[in-house]
Amino acid sequence: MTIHPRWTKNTLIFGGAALWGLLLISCVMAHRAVLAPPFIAGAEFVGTKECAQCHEDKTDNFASATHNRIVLSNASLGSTGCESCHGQGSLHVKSGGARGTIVNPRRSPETCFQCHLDKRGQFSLPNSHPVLAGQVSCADCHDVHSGNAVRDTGTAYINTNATCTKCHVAQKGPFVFEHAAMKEGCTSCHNPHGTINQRMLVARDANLCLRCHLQQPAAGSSGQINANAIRSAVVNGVKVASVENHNTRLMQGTCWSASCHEAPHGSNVNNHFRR
Amino acid sequence: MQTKNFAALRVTGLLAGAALALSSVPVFGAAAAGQPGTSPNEDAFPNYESYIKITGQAASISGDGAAFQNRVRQPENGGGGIEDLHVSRDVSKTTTVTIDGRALTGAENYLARINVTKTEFGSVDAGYKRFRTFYDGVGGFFPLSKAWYPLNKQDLHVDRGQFWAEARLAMKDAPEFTLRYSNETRSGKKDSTSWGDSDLTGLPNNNPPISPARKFMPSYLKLGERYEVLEGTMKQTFGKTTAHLRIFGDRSHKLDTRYVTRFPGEIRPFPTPAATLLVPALNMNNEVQLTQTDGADTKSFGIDGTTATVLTANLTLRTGLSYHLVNGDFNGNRLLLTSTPTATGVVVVSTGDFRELAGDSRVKVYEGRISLEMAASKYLAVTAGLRAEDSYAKGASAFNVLAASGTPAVTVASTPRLAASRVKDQSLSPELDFRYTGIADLALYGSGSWRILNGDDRTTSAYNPITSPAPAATNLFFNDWSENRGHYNLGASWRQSALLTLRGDVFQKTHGNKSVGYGIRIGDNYVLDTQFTGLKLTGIFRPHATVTCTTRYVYQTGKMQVTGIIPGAEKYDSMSSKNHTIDETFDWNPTAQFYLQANANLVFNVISTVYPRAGVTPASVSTAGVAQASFNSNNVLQNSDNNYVNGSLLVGAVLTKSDDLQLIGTYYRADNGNAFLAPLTLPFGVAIKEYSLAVGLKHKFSKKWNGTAKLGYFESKNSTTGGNTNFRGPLAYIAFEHAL
Repeated sequence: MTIHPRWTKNTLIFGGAALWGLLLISCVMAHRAVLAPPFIAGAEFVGTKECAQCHEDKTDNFASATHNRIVLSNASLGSTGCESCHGQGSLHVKSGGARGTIVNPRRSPETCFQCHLDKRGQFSLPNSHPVLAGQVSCADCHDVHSGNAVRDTGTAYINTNATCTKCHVAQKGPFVFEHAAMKEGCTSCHNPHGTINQRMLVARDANLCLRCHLQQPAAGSSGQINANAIRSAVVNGVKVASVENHNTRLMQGTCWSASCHEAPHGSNVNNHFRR
Repeated sequence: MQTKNFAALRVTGLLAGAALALSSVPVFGAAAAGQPGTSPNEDAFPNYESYIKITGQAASISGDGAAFQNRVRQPENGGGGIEDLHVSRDVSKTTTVTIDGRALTGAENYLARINVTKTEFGSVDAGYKRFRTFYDGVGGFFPLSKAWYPLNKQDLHVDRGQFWAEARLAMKDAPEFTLRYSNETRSGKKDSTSWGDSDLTGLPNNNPPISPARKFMPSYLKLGERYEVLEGTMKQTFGKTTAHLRIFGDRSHKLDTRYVTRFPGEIRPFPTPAATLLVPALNMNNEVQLTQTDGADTKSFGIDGTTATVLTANLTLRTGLSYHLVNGDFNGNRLLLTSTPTATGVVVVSTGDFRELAGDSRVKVYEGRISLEMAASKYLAVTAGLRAEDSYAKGASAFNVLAASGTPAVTVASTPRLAASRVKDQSLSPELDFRYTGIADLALYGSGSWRILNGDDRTTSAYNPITSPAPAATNLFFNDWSENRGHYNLGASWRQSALLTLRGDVFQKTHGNKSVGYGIRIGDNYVLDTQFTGLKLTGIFRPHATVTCTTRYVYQTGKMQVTGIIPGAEKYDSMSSKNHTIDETFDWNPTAQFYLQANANLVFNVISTVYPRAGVTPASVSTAGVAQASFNSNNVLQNSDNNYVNGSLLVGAVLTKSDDLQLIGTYYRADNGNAFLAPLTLPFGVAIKEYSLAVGLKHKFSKKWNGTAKLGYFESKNSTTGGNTNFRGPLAYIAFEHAL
């Protein structure tokens, strides 16, 4: 069965009018609030000090957190403290921590999307981690209560790759021949929030590899990718034997496609990651 | 024209009037998002402490069901079960038992968890969870011949599961101990971006160097992975110092297999045609089947200790030390079978493969870090830190390579190979961070972090130990490796008024990677420099108590340069990229009974390497005497365009005392396809258009019962796959929630 929605002017006018009417009536009939996530209907801000009474393990080190940077010295209640992410806490405090009275960003990324709007767009893409489906949360990769939210250089406890390989164990290795790009980080080739390309690749074609492996045009030598090699292995009408004809290869597909550099994370057999 | 304008004006006026009327209605509950009111909320849906939620969902999809499953992350055939079970009971004054569960068939999403917590004593937590990820198994689509090959009845999905058990002892005024075991599994089949070849492209054969082959045949991986971790932690406070200690051991097992078929069904006729003969497309090439198995087992041990000492009210010292040792064994086989027609029939031979791969590896990492957090004044906070790491890794492998020769009688020869590597490096990572809040309504912050790494790589590429007892010079690669990274960030958060908050960051990342040969490899050289610069701007504008507009703009530009091994070659601009992301969220809460949230994201992203510098390849004649026509090499590889727009609309409203309404809409469009590139390449640009609409109703049956029903429609049109993965159809969802 398939349904093909049809929107006409009459549908919009009469449907819209009926909806407005219903809403106006509901305003009088129902004493209930609804709010767009992540806010909590019927609750009020109570301040971070209230939170610290039970959650000192989270509040004690917040001064070192990336998110602490935006806190103002004269911040208004709820604008930048715990409740700016977890919602108004009065019902939570009153109930002694009852379920459903506070926003848990691990269960809903809407809190994060309030500021990180671009991440909502990326997680909505077909190739993304299933954050919107609730299988992965922002906090699985980012520590928001202490230290660097993005684990990169500096004194962060674990590096960026460790964040990825705790789930993607197969890519961790160790390999006899590890691709040097792994030192640069998984995010060299993948955007973990989502891209329009399969496997969250930042580019689906050979540009992905050529960013780091494109060299000055010259006569060329075996194994090097340069503009001449892409142009042709034939120089002045003579085939240069030492030049791998990447031109023909690139016509066929990407560098890591079948029979070429199939092991981009690392190989135990070939130092050019050919299998 | 006038009539149209008048009608538009009338509709606009009607909507504006209705909006004004809604905005002026007295607020009974919370007002705007982020600005809750204090009025009664007595008709609120009950918030159950313990409950069970039973759900069912179904879809009636026309088109590609696998693509639907992959996109929506739900099974095509529907499913149902317990979406959420939560039971919480106080079994004594100090002890609470919590049970959580989920069992959704179809989506194969399961959870069983029990937690027992005794106040000021500790807790026990154990459970198992699992969920399924669907894959569509698509390969490429070749627009010239409209070639499209689906995988043969492969139901592609991967299940991730985790069992865990944790005990925590947290008695008052005593060290806190935690012991945790977890066992994660990953199994199933998924598609791969490593595609096989086909000559069925409609391109002429024997027209070198333009290849008729394109790699768009779908392929897949079969996964079997397990990862176990046993860890114990301890936390204790001694005076002003809080110390954490973590000791862990883990082991992993992997046995993954890749299946790729090249030229499926394509058998080159016998005798082999002359080079200049135009061969019928259906008989173009040999079929090649690849099965590669990669197995690995690792065991590791680690210990990590940290301290945080409050030296004074304004000074905190943090330290850390860790040690990690990994031992790994691996194995594998690569079976590559080529079907070759001969005078006596098709002969299947194995070429280009390896067998009986065996090897091991060892990684040892020492790490230390120290940082000082200082409140220099009431408004200035400074953190300075340093991290040092020493890493050593080595690995070696042995395998056999098979080579087949002869026709029609094929002789297969097996020769051994050895390979090895050793990598060691030391790095220092200083970090400096500040925050200043001395100006009212303004926070200024900045950071700089660096990484200076020096290392030494020694690699022995695969060689034959029988013909060459020691690796030849051409197999040895000795390189000094160095990295120099700098990350810089400067930002501000300014609350201009209740109406407007502005936040902005500028950032720069510069990386330098250098590999220089030494010893017998003097002359080897590879230098990669990268620079990424950008800014992030966020504005939160509240023109009215009921309206919030949040705008975010992210800009990033990137450059890369390679200096390579080619003698005399200078630094070359290998990459240029630009990204503009414009995002908008509009929240409107005119009354406590209505909200609207609209989001839109617009992205312009381009990555450029050789295009448009590849130039034109002139006509020529190869040494084999084969004429080669001229062609525009810029069409072999153009820029990667990754532009898209997507958005969503969410509307919620109170309809009656017992009913809430929700409307959800989504939209996504990418238009990066370029089929005209097909003669010289495989067009990869993503071109897709999709939308979804859903209406939901939540109804309260009684104080203990409520239900939700949603009806939606999803349509996806994918030009990248030539429309072969299009799908559309309605989706239905129903749920009942009962208080326990």
